[in-house]
Amino acid sequence: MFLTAIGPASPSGRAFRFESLTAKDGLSSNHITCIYQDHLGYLWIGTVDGLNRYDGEEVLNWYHHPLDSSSIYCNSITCIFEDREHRFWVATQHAVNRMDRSTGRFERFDVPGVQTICQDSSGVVWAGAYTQGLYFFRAQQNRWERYQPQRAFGGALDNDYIYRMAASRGKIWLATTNHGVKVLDLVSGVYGYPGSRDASGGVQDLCLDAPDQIWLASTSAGLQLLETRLQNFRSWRHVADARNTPASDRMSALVRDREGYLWLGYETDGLDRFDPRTGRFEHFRHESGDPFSLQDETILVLYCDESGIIWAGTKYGGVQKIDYAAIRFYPGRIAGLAAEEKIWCFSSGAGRQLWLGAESGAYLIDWVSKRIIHQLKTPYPVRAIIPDSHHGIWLATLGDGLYCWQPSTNRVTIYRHELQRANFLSCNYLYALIRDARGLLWIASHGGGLESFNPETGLFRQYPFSSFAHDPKSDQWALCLLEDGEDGLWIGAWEFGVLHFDKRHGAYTVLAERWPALQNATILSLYQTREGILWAGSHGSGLYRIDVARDSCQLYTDAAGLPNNVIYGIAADSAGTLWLTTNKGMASLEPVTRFVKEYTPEDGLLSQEFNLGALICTPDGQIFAGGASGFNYFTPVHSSVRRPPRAVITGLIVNGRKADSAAFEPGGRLRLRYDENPLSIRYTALPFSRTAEHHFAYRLAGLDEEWKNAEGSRQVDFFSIPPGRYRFAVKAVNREGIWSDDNAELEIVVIPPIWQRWYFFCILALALGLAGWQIYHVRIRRLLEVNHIRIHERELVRERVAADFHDQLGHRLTKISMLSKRLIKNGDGGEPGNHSALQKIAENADASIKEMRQLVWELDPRKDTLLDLMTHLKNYSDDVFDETEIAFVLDGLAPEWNLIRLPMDLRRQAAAIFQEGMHNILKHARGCRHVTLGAVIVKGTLHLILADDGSGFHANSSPNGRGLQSMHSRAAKAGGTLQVESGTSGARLHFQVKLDPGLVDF
Amino acid sequence: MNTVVVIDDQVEVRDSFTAMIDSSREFSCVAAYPNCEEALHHLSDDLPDIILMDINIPGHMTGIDGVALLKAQLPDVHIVMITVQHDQESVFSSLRAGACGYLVKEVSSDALVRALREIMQGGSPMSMSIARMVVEHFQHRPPVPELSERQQQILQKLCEGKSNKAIADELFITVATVKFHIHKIYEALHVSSKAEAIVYMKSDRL
Repeated sequence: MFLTAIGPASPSGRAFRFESLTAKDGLSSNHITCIYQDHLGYLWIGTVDGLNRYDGEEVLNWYHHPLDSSSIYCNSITCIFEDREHRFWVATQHAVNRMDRSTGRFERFDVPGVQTICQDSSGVVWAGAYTQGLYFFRAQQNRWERYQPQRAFGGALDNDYIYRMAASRGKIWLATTNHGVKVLDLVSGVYGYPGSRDASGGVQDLCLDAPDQIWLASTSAGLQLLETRLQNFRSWRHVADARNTPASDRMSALVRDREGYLWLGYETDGLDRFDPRTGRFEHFRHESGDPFSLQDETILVLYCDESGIIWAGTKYGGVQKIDYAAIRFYPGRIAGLAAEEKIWCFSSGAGRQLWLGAESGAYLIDWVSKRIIHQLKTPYPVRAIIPDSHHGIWLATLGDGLYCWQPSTNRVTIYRHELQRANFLSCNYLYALIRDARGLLWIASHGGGLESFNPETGLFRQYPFSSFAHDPKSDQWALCLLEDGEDGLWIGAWEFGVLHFDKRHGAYTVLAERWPALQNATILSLYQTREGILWAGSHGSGLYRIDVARDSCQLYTDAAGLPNNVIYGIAADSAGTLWLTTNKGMASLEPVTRFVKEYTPEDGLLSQEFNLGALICTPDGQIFAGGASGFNYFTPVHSSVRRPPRAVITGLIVNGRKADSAAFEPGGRLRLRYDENPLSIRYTALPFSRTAEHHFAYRLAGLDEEWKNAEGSRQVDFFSIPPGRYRFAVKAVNREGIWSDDNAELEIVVIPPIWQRWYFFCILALALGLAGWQIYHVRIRRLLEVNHIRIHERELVRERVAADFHDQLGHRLTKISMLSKRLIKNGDGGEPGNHSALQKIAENADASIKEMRQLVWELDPRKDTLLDLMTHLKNYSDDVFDETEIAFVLDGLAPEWNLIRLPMDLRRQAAAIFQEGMHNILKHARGCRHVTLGAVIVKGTLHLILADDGSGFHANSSPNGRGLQSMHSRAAKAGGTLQVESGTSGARLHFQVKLDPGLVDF
Repeated sequence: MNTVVVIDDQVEVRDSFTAMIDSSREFSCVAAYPNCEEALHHLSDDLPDIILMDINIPGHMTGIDGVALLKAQLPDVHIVMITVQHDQESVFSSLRAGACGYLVKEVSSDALVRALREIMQGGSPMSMSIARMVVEHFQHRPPVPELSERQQQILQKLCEGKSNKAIADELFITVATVKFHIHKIYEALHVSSKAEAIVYMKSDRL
């Protein structure tokens, strides 16, 4: 998003890289009016046309909507302020708005003209309005009230054009553009000038510094310092063509950075950095053609964020960001040297001089003037340069042997390979060259491997690889050299990895034999730290870290964050950071934290690809890196402000659409349906910087407790999160290896589908239960229906049989009875014996009728209740005891009797028992006057009791004995028991039987 | 001498009852008919004191239907139902229609004469189940002709399953008095049924 490039350094100070944030990047306008960072880390930017929030990656806008009263009152933003209670105030031209950041809604307060808001130490929030006076917020009443000072001198408060305010120690300091700086004493309520009037002129901005010092940006009198205790003003005025004066007297803004510098903004003259300790000014102006110089010189507002980055709001160029931590890469432009010249090697010269080996020759550069001092054109590329005060400049060429060059005389001695010449250069393809303390040159070549040259004797000596190479045809190709103390050499070789050469014994040690990781590796670059750690850059295998003392060899590849596995050069800066040139840009590696940061042409590099050996860190700390088209130089930046980064979640994309920003506010919660996939979470880290500045780690607690390394990626995608409750956390680490103190967190609730919710299981269980019950019920009902049908059929049969008995047999027996009685009555029997026969016929017929009647009653399914049984017995008693003196009483008749159904057999047997009992009473109970038949049910057992008040009977008497036996037998058949008691006060038949619970309807 | 008419579809039954009645000195069977229709034709001539009516006469007019018609023609006649079975519901329907008692067909001639005598004396037996139906009838079918307190007492005790003798003992009256009251209860039942029918007919027409 940010534009990136390189511009020349400021003439007088360190180079700052200006990055732009403009309407192209999403700002609502390039005319900036205010900048503010909230407690969450977001940068809020007010413009003349809308409010913006920037999270380092994306800009969100808020505008006034005429039909939405919860939108911001108008688009012209004048001030943004968050108080300690996290109320977020946005002042616009005609009203103050309080924003609810979770909903994006605004509450409007009718306070016009507010330009500045501050909060005093007691927590009162103040708003200063342009010619409208001062207001304070009554939180309890939720309203702004106008403040009237107790006393004012030097003009009324309401007449002042209040532009900025700052509260400190019971006072509010006001920058007014008509009457300079003023002060309100909150204790006494006195408002007026802090010192001598007119010292400051109009003041547009102020900045509290030391306890007694206030810096003022005067609209006409340059930089002012008010020493409040002395009530004294000091001023720094612009002086034309003089160094260390402000760029202009018309200042518009100022801010103090975290290193103690003051940044000064001018109405039309750009930006200054002022060091109050030295009185030194550095000017920053727009550099034509350099997109990374200050883009707009009309500075309206300056802001320093919590990480120390300076943000400058301009009138036409949006926001300019000045980041201490950003490296400014410069192109190495040298007059007389083609910009696209291939650069192969560097070497430090005297003072500010630099030796440079290029495709076309060797050059000595004056670094201040960026001009060539000496040059030597060669037909072949110069791959190594060694200045030698005794002999000249040694140049290793790739194809033309070894040169010894005297720049002052331009005399050159060339050592080329000669066939058959002993103790001479073995080949002309030289790659590397070093000179040891004894004055010997050590040469790495393609064809000769390693050889030495003694300039004093002019003799070369070869140290062939055949001493360790098993294959005599293998390449004798050394690519780089590094001294290891007085007697050792490290050699990077083609396919032999790293070799160690002992000069005293002329012996090689092949490190690949010790660490197989080095086998077949081609080493292009070597660097050894002061601690003895050897770093070896390979051709395609990555970077080796070899600690011989600890017997360890580790390999870093692109998997560990390197941009590429071809490492052409390794250099270390003064802070120990390793700089690597690769086939895919440049990288810095923090040896301790392993933090890798990549640099690409977007950062200002001239090319993606660098050249073997073309990397150097000069004694003054600058790094030069040569590549396929020219070279870059830069000064590594190590900010003195070492702050932990802060991770923030900046966006959620659910199933391809953006989620409400409220979800990822702190404490926010994201609720997703189970099918809302995938979920992408975007995050970044403050301070605002480019991707490579921070690495991230995240975890989704609930799914995976392990932190996952996201490296530089600022987005994580979850393609399917099972239903549940999760907590996403992301943390950031900066290049210094400092992790963020707090994680950015987000609660995620994935709502399960309805069939995975607990109540669904309950409902399902219930439904299954119901279904089961229903099936069971239906089955039982079916069985019962079948049973009922069967019972009904049986009952129909019984009814039909009963009817047949009644209608046919009954009538016939009745006829027999009646006819026989008629014959008897009429004496029509004929012979005397016939009469008795007729009498028996009549008696049998009557008995049969009674039995039939009994049978019909027993069969009749409609007469199956206890009441029916008792009624039957009562009717029977009417016949038995009629015309006697015996009074029969049915005892305990209860409505429930009609609800107790008795099985047919029980009815039959019980009826027979008690009919027999009644006959027995009639026959045997002498003096009987009362007979009682009672029924009672106790605990499911039916008790039927027939009692009389006669004289009792002897159970052993023969006829009675048989009758009783029969009664007991019937009781047993009915499943019950019978007790017979007899005494002088009467006899008692007690039949009891357990009832089937299913037949009792209550 | 009291006159009796027998109505039964079976000639043997008619003949037997005729013989049994005629054999007594107190009663004379003046006619016997196989069905109600025929009986209705002649009853104005016969003018019996008692009609013995079979409950289950086949044909268009059942015994119960016949009771109502006969009772309408001869309000003072005593109609006694004769049945093979103690069919309480049919008996009660007959009683509601105007009958004043019932007998089983295989009754002996002595028992028959005794029963006829009782009826003429104003008494008639009532079983417990019939008594309960009577009570239920009076409870649920207004207009209710008033039963005397004594009749209500007797009816209640019958419902409770007490024999005439037991009731007589409890109320310190004779069994005959009990039977008389039962007879009156039958009449009240008949009146109530008739009133109910009248109300029904009126309402039906209006």
